[in-house]
Amino acid sequence: MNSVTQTKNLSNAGGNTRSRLREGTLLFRYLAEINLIFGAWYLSWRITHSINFDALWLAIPLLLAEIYSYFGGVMFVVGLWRPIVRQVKSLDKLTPPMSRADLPTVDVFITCYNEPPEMVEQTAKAALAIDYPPTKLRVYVLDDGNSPAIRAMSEKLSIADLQKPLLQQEAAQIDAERSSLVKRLQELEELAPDTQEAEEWLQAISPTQDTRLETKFLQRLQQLILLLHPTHPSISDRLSTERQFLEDAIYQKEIELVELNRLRYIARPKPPGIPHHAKAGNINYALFYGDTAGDFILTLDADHIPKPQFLKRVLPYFFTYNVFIGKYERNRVAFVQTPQDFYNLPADDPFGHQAHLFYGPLQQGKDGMNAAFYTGTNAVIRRDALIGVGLQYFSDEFAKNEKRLDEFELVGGVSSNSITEDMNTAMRLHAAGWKSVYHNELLAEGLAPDDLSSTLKQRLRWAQGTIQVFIRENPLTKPGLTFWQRLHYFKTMYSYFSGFATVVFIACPIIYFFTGVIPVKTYGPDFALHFFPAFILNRLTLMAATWGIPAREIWRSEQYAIALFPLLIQAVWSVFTGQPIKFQVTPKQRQSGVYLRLIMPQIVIFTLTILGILWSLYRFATGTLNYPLVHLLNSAWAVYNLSLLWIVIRAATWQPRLSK
Amino acid sequence: MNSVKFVQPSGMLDGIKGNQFRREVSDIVAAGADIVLIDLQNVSFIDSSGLGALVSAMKTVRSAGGKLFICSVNDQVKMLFELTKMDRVFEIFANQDEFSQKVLAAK
Repeated sequence: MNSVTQTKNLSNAGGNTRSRLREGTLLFRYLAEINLIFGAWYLSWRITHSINFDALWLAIPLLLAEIYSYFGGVMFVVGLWRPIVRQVKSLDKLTPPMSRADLPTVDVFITCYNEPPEMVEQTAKAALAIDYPPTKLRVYVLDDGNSPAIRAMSEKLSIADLQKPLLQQEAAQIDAERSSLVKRLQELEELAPDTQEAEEWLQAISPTQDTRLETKFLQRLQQLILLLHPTHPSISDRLSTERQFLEDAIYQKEIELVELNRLRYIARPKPPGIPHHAKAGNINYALFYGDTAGDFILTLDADHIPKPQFLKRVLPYFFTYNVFIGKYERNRVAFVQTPQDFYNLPADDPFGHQAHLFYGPLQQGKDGMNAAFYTGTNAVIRRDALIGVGLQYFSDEFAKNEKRLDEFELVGGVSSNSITEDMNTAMRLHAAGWKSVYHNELLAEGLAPDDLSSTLKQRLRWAQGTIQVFIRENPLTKPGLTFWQRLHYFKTMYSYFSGFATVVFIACPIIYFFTGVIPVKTYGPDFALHFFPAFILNRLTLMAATWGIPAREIWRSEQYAIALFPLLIQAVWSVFTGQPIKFQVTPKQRQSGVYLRLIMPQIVIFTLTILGILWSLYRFATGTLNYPLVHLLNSAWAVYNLSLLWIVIRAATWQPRLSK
Repeated sequence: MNSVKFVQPSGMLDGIKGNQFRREVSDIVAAGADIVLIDLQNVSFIDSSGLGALVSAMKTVRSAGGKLFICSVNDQVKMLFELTKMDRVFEIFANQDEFSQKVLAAK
């Protein structure tokens, strides 16, 4: 079936940006509606007709898990209701064109923490190679590890950058401008004593005394010059103002020459005994104490290598052409997020890092409701929005406790309220009325952790941070957010509570195999009639929503959503019991080893499930099995669970193939 | 006993000017000023980076045991102060006279 594309142009005057509905959305909506109806029908049957009152201890948890999943599904569907695809003209192809002088200044922030210098160097080099006027681009290495090797690398690279022909050309031009200013100043200074004498002489003679034509002419000339500069009492005064002006201009040019040094290194001091606020602190320090001033900030993780066209593709979103004044004006877009992808993924991606579902339909769906998700890297942020909103929150905290001023430079911009500072910051920007954009074009590629330990650390941080934000700045009650933004943020947080539901789903078949207790009254035809239509429609809806993404990748993300249940439970538990939560930087280098000890709960469940199936088979073979069909159904369910859980065992034992 | 210093930035207080301004205040504090009055009379426009620089300056002054005040803000700046709630962070006076009466005379 061919998808119907509904075109909705949300273009600005020059037609530089436009957006349309993602292809296949109408089919998805159609299926999703039927799916939700069948799901509701199943759920109501479960509530009214199938609770097993003889085993409430199991029946109620299962029912709750199913209700939880249904509402998760409803929000998933609503979240994908309006996915939009954006099209944008590159910065140098805008109509009307933007003049070079109007181009904004951009700072690239490369945040690092003990990564190898070669990795940071590669990123910094690529950042310096971004296609943008050199006087408008600065690259900052924000080294939170304060490593001498990275500092040395940065210094070397900044010299190498200055030697580039483009930079030398720029330097020559600024120097030429400076020289001509200096020359003019010299001329002016030579002129000054004579002018002063001439004026004194003209002053000395009264007009009636001397009636020579030359004198009259000189007097007229003096009057004319003063007429052209009415604010000056004398020509010498005018000259000294001009000299002041030239001296300032020369100084300005000298600054420009110094500023040509585009790569800068910042390592903030981290005195022991005070909170450092992790990545948020690192970025905020650069914002307030790092002498940075770019209009826009491109944030990159240390390993994310930007493509040269990054800024040209993204910056146009931040401007709107104003036909009345004939100029581009800044609009209300606070940040533009681009996808994340990785260049080091093994062929079958055992750790499930590929995220075309998230950096695709999900982000596009969020974007359609002005709720794009900022993920901390590969995004450009408007400095003014970031600091403006940061200051508002700072002033709230300051009003409660003036001691906060002591750490202003670490907390005044990016939110330091959560270990997922990126998400929290975006939510604050949205709540303050700023807009956001998701631009679905790969513009930077990075490294994904390729061992289970690092992967789990990363996922735990995401889970803990998200739940932290849920508790501290609940999107449902946070003032300023739109209904749809609330829904999107809440949906993300809601999904991190799925670990509890998963435990129930995984435990049910095991419990049945060993005790014969079932949570529903019947697994007979009545169950099949209600369950399977909803289940099949669910799979079809998911297919429609993820059209174009390899099925294997979707399956991988489903596997991880289930298989990481102990981690998700741990995250909820740690946040709700107020355990100290540390920002763990995800290691970018492989921590080799086999990690079975990290997945003990999964292994236990896995083993029990297999034993349960074998036990059923044994009883079937010996003729002591009472309800073979119910066992068959539970076995199918169990096998489905096994195929989901299998992935973490595979990931724990995965080893990179040795290179030739 | 108290050493009072006036700082009078001019023009636009944006990111770049803000960085200069911040250094200027650090120098003044290092030179021993313990009451600093920022007179914004000649400042036509402040952006949020400029505001950030004002807060940083206040931190510098306070951590040296001093106090920072602001006076003579124009309408645009006043609005920005209110929007970012910075009017709660700073003590602001209408002009230098009011500052002298309320702060210096009280000493």
